[in-house]
Amino acid sequence: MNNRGQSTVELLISVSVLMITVSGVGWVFKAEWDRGKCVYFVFEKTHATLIGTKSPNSNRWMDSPIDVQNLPEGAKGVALCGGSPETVSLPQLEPQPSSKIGSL
Amino acid sequence: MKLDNKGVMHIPLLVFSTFAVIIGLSLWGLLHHWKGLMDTQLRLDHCTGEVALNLKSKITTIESANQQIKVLRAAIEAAMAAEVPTYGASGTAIPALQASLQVEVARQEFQRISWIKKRIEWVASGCGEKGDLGVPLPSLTWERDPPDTVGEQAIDMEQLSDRFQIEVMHLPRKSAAVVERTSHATLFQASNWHARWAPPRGFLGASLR
Repeated sequence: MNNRGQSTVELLISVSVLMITVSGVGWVFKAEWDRGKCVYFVFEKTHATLIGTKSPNSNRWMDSPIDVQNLPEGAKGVALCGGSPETVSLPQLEPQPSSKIGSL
Repeated sequence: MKLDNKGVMHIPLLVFSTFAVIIGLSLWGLLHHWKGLMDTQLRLDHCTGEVALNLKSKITTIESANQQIKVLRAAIEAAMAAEVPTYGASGTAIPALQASLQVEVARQEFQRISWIKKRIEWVASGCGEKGDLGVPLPSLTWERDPPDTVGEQAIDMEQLSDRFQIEVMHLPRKSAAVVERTSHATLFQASNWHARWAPPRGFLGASLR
């Protein structure tokens, strides 16, 4: 019986250590995954807005909406990636002709 | 479950570990793939953007030279009409003006030849990386009227297309930019050109235009 009790304690300690390690690695991995996929979809949507095409549907992948603004100097996309904002800015090839005139 | 030292726990742990590693590697691979797609897109955009701006610069130079040709021709005509030596005893201004005219024509032809060179490079290697496919670049075509008594003639810039599309692909990514005329030339002012990003059309779309 003593041996059995000792084995149980050792098992619980081992499993606890393993679970904490796996959870830690999992947490880091999930954070990286959330950020990586978020950056990709924000980039895709921002790029599609910049060139004037439809972006791939990201609703299935994204937890938060992607806000893209088409500005005279370029397109700017923002989304919350795992709680922190991710911003992608892609510039126009040249300033828009109207803004060029305005700056003269 | 029997808890002893015979290794019964090894099987579920092995299954769990294998499963976790496979899932982890798959997701890591997907992230890596997405990063690769973004890098490729940015590289292609940088390349098409550079070529589009280069083309715009060439067209602007050609237009600027054209304006100079018109001014020089007017000056030569005026000098011919007056037939007054303006360079003192050594001669009239006409040969110098005609030489300047030749220089401007050469500037235009140089731009055209360097663009032909770029077109060849583009078809051969796109943006320079293996797997790049450059949709053939548009040509800068014009016909200059034969020289008259004044000298070389200016080009009618309206012969040039109003829109040039530059496009490259490295499947599955594509990038395109256009250089388009935003205002037509007047007697004293060259036309305006603008370069911007554009939706890619692909080889088929390009050949249909």
